[in-house]
Amino acid sequence: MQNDKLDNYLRTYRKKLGLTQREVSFLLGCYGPAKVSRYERTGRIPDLKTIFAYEAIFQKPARELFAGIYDRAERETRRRVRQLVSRLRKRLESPALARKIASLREVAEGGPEDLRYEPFTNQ
Amino acid sequence: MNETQYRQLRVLAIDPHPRGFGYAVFEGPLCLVDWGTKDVRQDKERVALERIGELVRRYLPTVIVVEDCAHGKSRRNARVRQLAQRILAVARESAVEGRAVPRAAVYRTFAGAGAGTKYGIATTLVRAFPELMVRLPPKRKPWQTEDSRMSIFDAVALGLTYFRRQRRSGRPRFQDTLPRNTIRRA
Repeated sequence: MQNDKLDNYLRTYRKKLGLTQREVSFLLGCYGPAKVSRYERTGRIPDLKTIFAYEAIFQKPARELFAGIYDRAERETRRRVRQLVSRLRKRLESPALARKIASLREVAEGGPEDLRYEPFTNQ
Repeated sequence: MNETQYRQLRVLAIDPHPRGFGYAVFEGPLCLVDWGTKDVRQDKERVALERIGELVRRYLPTVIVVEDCAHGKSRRNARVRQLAQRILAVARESAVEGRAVPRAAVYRTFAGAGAGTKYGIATTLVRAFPELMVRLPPKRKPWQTEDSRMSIFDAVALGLTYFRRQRRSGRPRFQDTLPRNTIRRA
């Protein structure tokens, strides 16, 4: 029953700032609002430069602006980390390997407290 | 429904009016994700339902909330009443829970904030969600027709009333107790 996050919240943050798509397209250095509309409708994922421009405009980290994409990427990465840990555990033990496994376990469990993702809120 | 589920519940509230409809999308009661109006001029019911379908596909809500036009004091015209019923049918077809909230419940929800009129509710909502300020129309004079932007505020008020009733009732939601696609009045 728990909803997955939307792929992106670009439209929400744009409307919160009271900007039009045309104004955002100017800020991003695009030629018209069509591209902004496609980004918001998730038909197109912006390139890295545009993502940083969005961060600068909305003053929010990319993982909050693209919360759904971030959540999926994080889940898939954690799954692969667990796979890697189980593969590494089959090797002969050494202090370096033990350290690597401990680090990877921390990543699989969500990383250190100060690096954990704060979910999107309106507050 | 636990606290996390309540705070992440995605609700699409729709307020149909004679010239289209207003909508508001929530993720929990504190987070307004999207809001606006859709103007419909011709073939009103079909076009309105198409646009509502687009919103449902884009936001994948858990619940769609509309006004309960069958409630005793509702003064909605016949076409809007029918559209509200069709919206609930769209919800059923999309495997989304449909809820009808009576207007009286909306007034009760905002009575505590001292808002006894539609405009009073709208100004209360602007205090809670300042981003709605730019969409607040001037106060209507008795001889004027209602500004279509008021339907945004009606939709937001419907959504918040739904959340409040969920919180107060504390009862399990329909997915936990009833077969899927069952529509109950909130």
